[in-house]
Amino acid sequence: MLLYNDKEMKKISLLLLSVFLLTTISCNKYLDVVPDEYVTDEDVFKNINLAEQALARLYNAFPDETGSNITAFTDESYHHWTDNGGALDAYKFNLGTWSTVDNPIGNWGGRYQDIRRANIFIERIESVPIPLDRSDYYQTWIPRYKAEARFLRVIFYFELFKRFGAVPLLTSAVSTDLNEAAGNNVERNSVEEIVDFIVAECDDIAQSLPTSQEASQVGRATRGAALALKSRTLIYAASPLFNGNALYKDISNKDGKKLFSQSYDKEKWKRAADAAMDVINMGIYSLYSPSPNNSVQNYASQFYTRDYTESIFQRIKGNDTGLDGQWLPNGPPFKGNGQFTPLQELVDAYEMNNGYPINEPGSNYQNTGFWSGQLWDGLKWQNVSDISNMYKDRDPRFYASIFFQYDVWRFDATKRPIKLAFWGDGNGRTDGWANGKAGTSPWGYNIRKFLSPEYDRNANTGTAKRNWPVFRLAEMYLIYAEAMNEYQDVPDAPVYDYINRVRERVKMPPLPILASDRTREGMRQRIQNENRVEFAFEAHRFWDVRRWMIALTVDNRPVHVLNAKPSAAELDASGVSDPNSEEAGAAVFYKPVVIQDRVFQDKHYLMPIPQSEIDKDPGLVQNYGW
Amino acid sequence: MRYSVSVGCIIFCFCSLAFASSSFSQKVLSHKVTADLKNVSLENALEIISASAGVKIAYSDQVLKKTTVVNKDLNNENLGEALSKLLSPIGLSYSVVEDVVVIVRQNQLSNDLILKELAAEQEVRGIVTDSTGVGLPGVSVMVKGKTGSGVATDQNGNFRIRVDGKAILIFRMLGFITQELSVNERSFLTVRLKDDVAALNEVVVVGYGTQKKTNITGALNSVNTAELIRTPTASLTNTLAGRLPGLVSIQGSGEPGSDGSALYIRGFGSYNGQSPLVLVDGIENAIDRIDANEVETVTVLKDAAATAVYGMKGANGVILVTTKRGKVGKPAVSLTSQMSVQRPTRIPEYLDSYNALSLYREGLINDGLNANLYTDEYLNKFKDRSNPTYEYLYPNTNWQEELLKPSSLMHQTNLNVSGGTPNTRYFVSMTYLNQGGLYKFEDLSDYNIQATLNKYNFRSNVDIDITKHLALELNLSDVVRDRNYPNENADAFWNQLRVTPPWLYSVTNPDGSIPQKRDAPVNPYGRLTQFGYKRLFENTMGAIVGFNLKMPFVTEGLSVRARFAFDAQSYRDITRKRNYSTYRFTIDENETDLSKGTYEEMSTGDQQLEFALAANGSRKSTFEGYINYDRTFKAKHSVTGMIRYNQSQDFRGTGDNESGVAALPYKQMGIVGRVNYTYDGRYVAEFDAGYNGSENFISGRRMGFFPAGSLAWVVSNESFLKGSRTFSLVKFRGSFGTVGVDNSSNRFPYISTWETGNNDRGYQFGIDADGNKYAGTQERIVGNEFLTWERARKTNIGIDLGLFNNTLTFTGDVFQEHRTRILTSALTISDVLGIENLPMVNAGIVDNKGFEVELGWRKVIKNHQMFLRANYSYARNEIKYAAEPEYTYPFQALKGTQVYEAQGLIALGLFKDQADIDNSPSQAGYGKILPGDIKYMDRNEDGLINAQDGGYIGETLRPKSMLGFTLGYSFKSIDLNVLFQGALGGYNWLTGTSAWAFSRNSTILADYLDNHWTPENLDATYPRISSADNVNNNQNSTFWLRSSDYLRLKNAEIGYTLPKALLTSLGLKGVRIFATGINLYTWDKFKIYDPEIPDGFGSYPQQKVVNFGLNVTL
Repeated sequence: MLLYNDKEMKKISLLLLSVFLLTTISCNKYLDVVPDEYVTDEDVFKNINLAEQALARLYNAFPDETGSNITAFTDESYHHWTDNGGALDAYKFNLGTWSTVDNPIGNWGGRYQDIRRANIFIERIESVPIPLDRSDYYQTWIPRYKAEARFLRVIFYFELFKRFGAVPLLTSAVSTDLNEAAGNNVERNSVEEIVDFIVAECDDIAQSLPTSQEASQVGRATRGAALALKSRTLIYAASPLFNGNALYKDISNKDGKKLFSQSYDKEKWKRAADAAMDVINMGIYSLYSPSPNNSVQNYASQFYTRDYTESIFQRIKGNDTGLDGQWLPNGPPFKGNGQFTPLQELVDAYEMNNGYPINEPGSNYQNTGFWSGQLWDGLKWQNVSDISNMYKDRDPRFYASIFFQYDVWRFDATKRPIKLAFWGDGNGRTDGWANGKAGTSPWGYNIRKFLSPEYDRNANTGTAKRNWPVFRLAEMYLIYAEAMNEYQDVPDAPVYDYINRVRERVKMPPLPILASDRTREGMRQRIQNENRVEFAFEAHRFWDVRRWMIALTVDNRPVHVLNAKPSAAELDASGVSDPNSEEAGAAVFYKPVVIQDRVFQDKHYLMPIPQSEIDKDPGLVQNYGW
Repeated sequence: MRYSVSVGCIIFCFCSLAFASSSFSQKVLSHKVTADLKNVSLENALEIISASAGVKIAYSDQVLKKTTVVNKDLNNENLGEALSKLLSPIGLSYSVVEDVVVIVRQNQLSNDLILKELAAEQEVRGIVTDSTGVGLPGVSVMVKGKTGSGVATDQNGNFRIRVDGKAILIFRMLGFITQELSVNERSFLTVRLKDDVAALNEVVVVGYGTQKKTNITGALNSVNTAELIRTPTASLTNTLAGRLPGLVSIQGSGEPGSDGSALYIRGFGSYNGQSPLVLVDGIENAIDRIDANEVETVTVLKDAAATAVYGMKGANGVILVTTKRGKVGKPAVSLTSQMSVQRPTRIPEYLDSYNALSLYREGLINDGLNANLYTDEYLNKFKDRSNPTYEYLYPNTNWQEELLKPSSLMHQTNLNVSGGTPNTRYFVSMTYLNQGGLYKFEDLSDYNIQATLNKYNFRSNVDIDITKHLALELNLSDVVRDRNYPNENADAFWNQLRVTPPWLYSVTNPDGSIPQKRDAPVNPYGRLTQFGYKRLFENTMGAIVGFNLKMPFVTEGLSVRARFAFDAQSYRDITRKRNYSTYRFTIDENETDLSKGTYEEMSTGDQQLEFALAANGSRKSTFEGYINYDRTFKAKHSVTGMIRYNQSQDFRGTGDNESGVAALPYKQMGIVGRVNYTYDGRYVAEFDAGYNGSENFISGRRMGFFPAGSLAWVVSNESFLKGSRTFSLVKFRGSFGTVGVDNSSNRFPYISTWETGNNDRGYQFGIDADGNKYAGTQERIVGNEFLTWERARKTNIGIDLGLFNNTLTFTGDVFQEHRTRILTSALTISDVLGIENLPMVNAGIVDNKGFEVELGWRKVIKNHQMFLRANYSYARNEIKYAAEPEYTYPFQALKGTQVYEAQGLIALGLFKDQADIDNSPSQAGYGKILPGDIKYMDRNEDGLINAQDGGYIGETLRPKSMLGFTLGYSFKSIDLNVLFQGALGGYNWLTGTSAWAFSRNSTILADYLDNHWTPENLDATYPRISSADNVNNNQNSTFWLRSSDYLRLKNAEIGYTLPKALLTSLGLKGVRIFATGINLYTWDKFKIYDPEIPDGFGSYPQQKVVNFGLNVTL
């Protein structure tokens, strides 16, 4: 048995104490845990591979409106997913209830994040060390990378410009002093300054960018892309919204600086036209025209094909079929989500194939009765019957862009084309849903443009090879036509020529046709309508109705769909013996009914700067009406 | 009495001493001794001899004179001879009892004499109680004149000792006046100890040590083992509810293995991490896996005086758990076995098919949709079972009834043994707990899907006095948990139970296959029974080794202590997922032969159990060293001091996808200290401080200093109150200090980092999207080098009262906390700067104030013992600053709100008619508005109802007050204990798919049936029925905000202790049978689901438990 005397005790205690003290003393560095694993900005811009990833991040931020709800925010379509956030966003725009704290597509902060990333890249890319063995390669690419980043930065500024008009212009990445967070105030630059910046940048980088990219690098910015952006920026700047718009006469910074110029300047149109012509004159783009004898296909195929003849710039997208699932009609056999219903207003905007608007005398438009004939199912012509006369002899782009009652769509699984019906019995004769199911109800039309007939949704074979078209030559033609029409008192031959080039692809008769086509105002209508149908569902209309300042009319009225959900009384009154039958449904179907009474006010032309930004930065003034 | 190790109690405690035969004693005495004894005391000499011979030697103080000095050189001599040489000259002799040599005076030489003395002994039993008659455990019972001998009372205050019939027994316990009692040949003694309030020496657990109760200046409360084991729950956290003032407990789930409560102390002092620090035996640890049987006390530390020593960790309060330790005595064995029946407290009720579809039809008509399908004839088919096909074509499935058992079982058995000799004490405990789940069809497949927890707790706490100054503690614990669950996780499955419409599927198809429809929700039966299972194995090991060295040779009262703790956890989660086939069954509804139906395969399963394994481990090591000082000078000046140095590192388990940063250890280091000075038991001053830090902040901002000062005045020890019968205790306490908390920051928040290789943020070029592909790289976190911990300035004023000889006790505390530097996103930085993740800044400020009261009363009237205890705590906070912009509409700002304040619109009721809609601000942004829809307040008065009208509503989603109320009563061998517990001032959202009618293809709560708006029922609880999500009505608004106040019969226990007489014959010390109920009844206004669930409908419900148990002690 161990027993210790005091002496031994002292030894033990000294030992313990010294262990205790030693451990304590040896701990000076104990808390220096340095996480090497973190990647800092130094690491990124010391490594060309990471720097290239930083550039890829900028491309990733490139606006992609594939399948975007924006089509339902204006007079193109109606979004009827009542249980879905997307539909709610549409509600907000359509009923004018979006606000300074609730703007589904404002993306103010997000864009400035993109701009900060671009600024950092632009500032640092040239100092990235390059391995000696690759210096030849990067001698070419580093200047291009910088030019690409500058291109992307002005794209981001253009996105802000079309939303907010005058915005703060930051061309370097500001470092924040976190102890002086309140000192980070910025002010808005004027519209002129923003436009000048975009244009100057485009002019400058166009020199550094190649006219085309090698196959594996396609998708990078080109000279054409920079010039096309310049042209679009200038047509926006020349448009009524920004060209002497008196609504905005009082919008100025706290120091009195006017943010919106108040004098109309006709020369702005000329600058836009010249810029468009610069692109046209590059001579390397032509309208995509793979099937000249089939106008429907000649137009439609561009939107499920990776086209690089007409496309000046596109967001490269992987092969995917998500959009097809979202947009295909709701019923069997597609079981798509039928996300958007094109409005009757858009359907009516398609001219007759004789070049007459439908309500123009001589158009031969009928909204009663039925016809038989052939419709294109995406792969073949199919014999059809019982088609409403509403859909007879229309602009071929109508057939390429919109599904309607008893339209056909290629579908391998059933060995027959699908005969679409928004009121049908579903028992083999027609497809689509007989009974409107709450929440995903169809209303008589679906979007067809962008859908790929090569994709079989039921067998899940085939895929859609779509890029998102950002700039295509048709837009340059229409910009030129529009700008020259506005620049001159009376349209001249080039105005007709460039709009007719777009029409010619789908065999629409050349203008002028009506007497009014020989006036500036008449042609303005024609050009605006041409834009509307040519670029339907391409995310142009929402912005166009704003820059033309026609939204107060077109987005401020009841909009219509077809009578796909008749009341029992209506069905009973149809005279068909079985009121629940397809016949009864079809009998009451072709009647436009109001789906929404849309609201648009003057203040909606430009978006409000988010309230939280106004709240935190007294230097930021708000847009008109907000 | 002095003794060599482990011999001490042989003579006096072990009564059945048999004397060794002389041959045996010869053998002992013939052991060889070699020792060079120079100038050593006789005592030391004996110890050396004992060691050398390997024989135990026992002696008494009275026998040995301290002054005797020995000089002897023993060289391989027989023990007997050596002892004779040593002892004879000084009038001593020895005797051998068993294998122990006992030193006696020469006049007690004969064995006969000793035998006679022993024979004079008799067994005396008795009970020691406090002044109210409640049995006192752990009272030391000593024989006068025989220091060091004795026993301690058991849990019920009973003791048993063998003494001379004329002996005098001394009963001693901290906090009570020591009492002497002559045995007087009696065999049963009843001893009632008086509270020693004047010198209340009771020791309580405080941060990093213990302290005399009188000297406590801070705010703390504790609950002891007797209370804790009354509530036999699977998680210790659930037994604390209602027992500790200032503690907020919220239990959100009842799923076996994850049913612990969230604990908060004094409400919410910050809008970031609010969890208190938890220490088990002084080491940071988790509370929920500990077995209540192992726990001695649970203490909550609330104010700065109590928590400052935790420095950067203590601002949210601290919970201390101490485990039991052995006491000197024979092995005390306690075996408790209990069996419980658990059933859900409340499961939300949903309508049957007929009623639900009737309302659905109403919704379609309201929405202006085609309801032609839903004719009365059609709806009736969901009730009609006249044709066998109807069950499958027109199902009416009550999913909860079909898939859940009404109750499940839990049983647990604990065996613990404690005891020890004066220099080695032990407590060992083993518990097995099996908690079953509610799922039916557990054995349907060849594997088990039942939610099951098997938990094994092992603990061994050993204390060894190595020498009279050096003590060793060794705590070893292990918790093994094996859990089993269906592969479908509980949140998803319980959601399916609620939202899957009863009309959608029959449980199975006629052939037993799983029904499914295209583009429809899954069949919950399939998910429960066919989707595979999960087994989770987990082992949590903890070891603490500590040395405590008293250093009276340096100065009296000084000691040092060093402890090393190691915690290791490992887990191995096995997921056996199975893809199963589903079928759509179709048949003509008029067919009577079900076999004529057809099956269409909707999904193809391979029926194979897949195998996925996740295994990982974590380990934490802590070193702490203490210097303690505790001394009283001149009887009036009492000083205690403590300095503790610690460092710890914690390697946490990291998933495969986490960066290396997650694998870096979490380190802490610090020096903390306390000085307490008490003058004459009347005036107490204490200073506490923590100086500690973590690796998470930048060098230079890592360490923080947190001081707290506190004072107490024990008025009742003043001369004018001393001896007062009315005021047994009057004490005022006050404290002020700062404490920190660092638990809300991410790792290394001072470093700016970039994210690389993000494929979702990259880009692929190429003519066919097949060219050069780059992942994305971007700035992720903008670091803030200024970041540091949150700081809390806490003030506390308290009073302790004991009235009428402590029959009535009262403790009250008022506190105020001012929390600053709360980590907050710098929302004031303009978005134009383009920083994606706004850096955090130490900017937030929250004030929190409140009070706690605890009232106790106890009384004994003859055989009736009664007590009552009530506590109530209230805390309210206000966010003073949150680094946000100056909002145009102040109701959108966090500033001025409370932590957990609800955000939403303010509802003004339901629209009465179209005119009401037309005359109100437009709600068109939420879709088409009809009468019966919710009407909102235009809070910003712009004529439009939209998100801008949303803001803070003023009510919080957590309770503000907690209350507990305990009643105890015992009469002879029957005891009764009832605990009511409640929470007030909180609100719940009744929102989401589970609450909103037909939202996202779900069904409808039963409560809607008679309580929804119709033109005839204008004052309805629910809005008009919609057939799908109604954007207007399905907004978070005050309409859906319901009070979650509740009062619960949390615990009720009745026990019966079998008469002693019966037990003695069985050789048992005590047997008690008891029945317990938990969550027996809840009074609340909420009614839909359990009001305690904090966020939405929850998943697995809390359980109502009825428990039967048996406790046997030997």
